[in-house]
Amino acid sequence: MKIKSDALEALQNAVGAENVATDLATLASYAWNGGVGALPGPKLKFWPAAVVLPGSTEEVAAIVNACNAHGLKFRPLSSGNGSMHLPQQQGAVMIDLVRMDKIEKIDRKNSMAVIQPYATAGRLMAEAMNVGLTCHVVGAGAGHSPLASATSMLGIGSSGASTGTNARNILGLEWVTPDGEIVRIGATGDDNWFSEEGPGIGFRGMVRGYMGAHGALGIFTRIGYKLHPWTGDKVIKQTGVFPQTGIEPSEFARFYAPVWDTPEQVAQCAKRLSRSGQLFAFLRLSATAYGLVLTPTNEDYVAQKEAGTLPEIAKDENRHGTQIMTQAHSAAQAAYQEKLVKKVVEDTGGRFLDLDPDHEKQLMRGLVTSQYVARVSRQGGGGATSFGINDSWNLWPKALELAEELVEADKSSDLMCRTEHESHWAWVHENRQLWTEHVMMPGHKKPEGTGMAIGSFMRHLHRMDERHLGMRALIGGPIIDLFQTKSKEGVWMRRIKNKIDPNWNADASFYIPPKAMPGGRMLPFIRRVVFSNAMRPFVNFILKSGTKGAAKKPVVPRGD
Amino acid sequence: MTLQDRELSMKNCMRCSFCKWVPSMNTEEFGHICPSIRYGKFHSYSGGGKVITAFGLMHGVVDYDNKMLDTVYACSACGGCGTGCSANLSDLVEPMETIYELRARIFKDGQLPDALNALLNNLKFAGNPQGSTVSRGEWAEDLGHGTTNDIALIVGEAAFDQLQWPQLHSLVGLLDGANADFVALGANEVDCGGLAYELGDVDLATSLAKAFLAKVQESGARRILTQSDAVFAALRNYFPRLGVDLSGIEVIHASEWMAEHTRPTKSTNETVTYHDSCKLGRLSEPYVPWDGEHDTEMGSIWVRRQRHVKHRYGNDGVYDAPRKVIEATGATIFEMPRIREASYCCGLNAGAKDFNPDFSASAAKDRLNEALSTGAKTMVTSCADCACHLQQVADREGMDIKVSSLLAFTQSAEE
Ligand SMILES: Cc1cc2nc3c(=O)[nH]c(=O)nc-3n(C[C@H](O)[C@H](O)[C@H](O)COP(=O)(O)OP(=O)(O)OC[C@H]3O[C@@H](n4cnc5c(N)ncnc54)[C@H](O)[C@@H]3O)c2cc1C
Ligand code: SF4
Ligand code: SF4
Repeated sequence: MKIKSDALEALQNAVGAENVATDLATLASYAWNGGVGALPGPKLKFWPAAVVLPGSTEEVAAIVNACNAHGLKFRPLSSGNGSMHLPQQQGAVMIDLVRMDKIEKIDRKNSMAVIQPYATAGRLMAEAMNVGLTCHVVGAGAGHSPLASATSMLGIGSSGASTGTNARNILGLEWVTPDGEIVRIGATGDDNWFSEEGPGIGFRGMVRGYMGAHGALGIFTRIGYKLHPWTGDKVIKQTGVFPQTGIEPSEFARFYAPVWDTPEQVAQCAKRLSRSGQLFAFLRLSATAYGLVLTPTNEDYVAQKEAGTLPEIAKDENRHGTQIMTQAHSAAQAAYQEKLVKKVVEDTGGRFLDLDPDHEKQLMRGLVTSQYVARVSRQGGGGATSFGINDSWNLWPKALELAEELVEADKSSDLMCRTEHESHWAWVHENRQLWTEHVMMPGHKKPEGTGMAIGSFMRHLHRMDERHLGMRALIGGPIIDLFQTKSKEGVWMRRIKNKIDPNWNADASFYIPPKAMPGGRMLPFIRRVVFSNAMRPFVNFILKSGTKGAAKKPVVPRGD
Repeated sequence: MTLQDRELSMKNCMRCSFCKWVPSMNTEEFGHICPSIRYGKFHSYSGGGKVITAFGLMHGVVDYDNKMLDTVYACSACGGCGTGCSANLSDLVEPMETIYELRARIFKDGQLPDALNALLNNLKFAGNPQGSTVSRGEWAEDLGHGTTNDIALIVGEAAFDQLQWPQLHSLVGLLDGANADFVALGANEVDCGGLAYELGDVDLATSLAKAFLAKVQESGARRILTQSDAVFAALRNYFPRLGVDLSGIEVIHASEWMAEHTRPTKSTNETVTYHDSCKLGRLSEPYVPWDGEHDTEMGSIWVRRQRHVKHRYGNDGVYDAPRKVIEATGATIFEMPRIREASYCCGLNAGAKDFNPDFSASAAKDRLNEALSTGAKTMVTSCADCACHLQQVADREGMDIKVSSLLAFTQSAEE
């Protein structure tokens, strides 16, 4: 949909003509349906009307006003990683916040930073480490936006034991509401502290929620953001040969790779170490994920897997294991942490793997920077899908069991990337809880793999509810209604949206649709039938045919 | 390979933006690896953005206009995106490979911008891209031009830049001093076709590469020695793509030869920083031709059909030799944050300066600021063209830094 000239002029007046693009090449790069969040269908389907690059909060507000005046939907993106910023409709205005890239300040005393949307995690981390602090970094790695992650999208990362979860790392917010008002709340520094959470419903919880509103409640332009202690080098020392780069551990950092016989033992260890408050990171990967991290190419991975030469940690027999990283402020604390980890691992029946020092350094780099998470996608050549459980470590064995069941059921098909038992990632977050997600990777062979992965994903969600496997994450859009629990999250989300954005000006494709899914009270029953074992072949057939058909659809030209 | 052959790789692009950043970020300010996105800001300027443009063009939903051409050519084909992407995805996407094919497609479609067409015309009619009327052999008029059993000295475009001649003569002096068996090709040298390849004129690039090789073969040389980073990269990286086989002729860069065979006669205690030019660095990593086909293994894992072909990460460029040469003078190198395969381009390459001087200058300014952040007042680089471009921008911007080519630096260190 080509933008009308008066609307274009209004956008140009808001940010300057050089910061507005309507050429097809640029529009295409904001319509790309690929990576995390990609949906079945052609790579180019929903074209924006324009892309605008505001340079300030006031310009963001001016764009919002211009869009509202001309009836254009809008959607922000901060680093635009994957497809999570894609509106599922033609003709929206994409507000790319790339020009708002400042780390406004690092406040060492209060362990916080004030950052703009395009202050990326890698840059923030480098700056923070200089003063003995670090930031939470999600799996998207150095290039993602902590602001987008904290305000608008999930925000769980593997160093979560010590760096928390991003929903709780926000200390202050600057917000352009869907009707163009600029609102500032919370703390941005030394002298303006106050608690933004009071009795009753927290405002931050409302605009942020558990998953984030994906831009559906307006645009965040600045946040006060919590940082966490870092006792390592001010500048991380790199080791190894690219791309197998590691980090040189600092004097008081330690790395361990313990393994146990059962998942219950892993959970016991996680709980006890969490209670100690001494963890920097506690991360369990699947054997396949370790294999992919520790090899530079798929060819190397396959060759080593076939030859049986993958490192111990990447072998399936050691799958009830984890990585533990501690970091201390002093030699005495480091000695205490060493004793502690050894005792707890031994008490829970574990033993330590003896890793190649280069591998240890590579894995530590992953723990500190999340650099290697994207490597798991390398095997399949496309987006992955996963569900998340945020709850007590007591649920860990059950989460594994569920994934194993579902993997086993789909095993005969080579449409998804093969895994021996399951592909769970799990870590301690906020030094107390379990975060775990099972990564389902569509294979590269045929587009139907995506259908299989979607089926597996939905069945996961359904079984999680059936088995009371805790709070699930990683869902948004229409399926919220389908998997609504007794707390009626879909109803609340719609209410919040209607209150904050009564005209639904801000695109809500990944938040909640305006109308609930038809079926109402029957949905839980329908779900039970659809996701029963008996229906599996039929549902898989439908999903496979659907994704195959979608993949055949030609790319869509922008309709002018 | 054609753009069509790359469709699966293009579809693999996850828009994850690793192609915008160095794989290991250790400063807040100098984390970018792609000067194009730094300049243009819209995603279409990034390596991944160019992949999407190529895909759209192939499917007839992206069309030519000035902005599209700017996103493609305000880019120095520096390969930074390839390195960034491969940090996690190895050969899944290879944005740089698509960029080459995109450029070839644009050329074929007759849409190459005028400023770049002019370079190709100059190459065809004057034998050099800038249309210089200096004769190619003039710098070497006083040298013998017979045959050799060992080294053919190739100087590339330095032959047309009189300011570079003293450095060429000093290199000749070093070869003489080491009793090397060499011949300077001089007037017999032919453009190697590297720029033509980068501008997408694959036919011209191939015919130039063949003519170049014929002249080297005529000289009887077993080895090519060049101080030109552009020639060095073309021989190791582009010739195999063009199907021009050097038939066992070894290619060495002057810095490698100097590190092994020469000792500086004078010393300095200067503090300098070193700029890894893209062409001596990641772009000189040898390319091994392969059919571009992938299979799946173990169910669905994407692997190359020709398993033996080593993936290019950019870490097999020449990084240590120039540093050794500098350090042999007694100078101390203060490294910049972005070095070796993660180096940041000065913005000169692949016609970028001719097409969009503002882009080119913005990249250079970024790099100069990074150099200044080390505290060094001198920046050395193996590439005389980078040095000249960087110095011009430094002077224009009033930046207090001297940029020197490696040969000029060692020469002044020897004086
Ligand atoms: C390889 C890979 C691994 C990942 N692993 C994890 C993981 O472990 N944990 C995790 O939490 N996430 C993960 N993600 C997803 C990741 O959360 C997001 O990509 C990232 O956190 C969001 O930052 P972004 O800059 O990419 O957001 P964008 O893509 O820019 O935006 C994400 C969403 O937020 C909205 N948004 C962006 N900026 C604003 C703003 N300023 N105001 C309002 N709305 C905004 C967008 O519209 C979009 O819906 C992963 C992604 C990849 C590619
Ligand atoms: S080219 Fe590579 S690094 Fe860039 S967005 Fe695409 S997949 Fe990511
Ligand atoms: S070649 Fe260099 S300038 Fe061009 S897109 Fe890639 S990194 Fe950017």
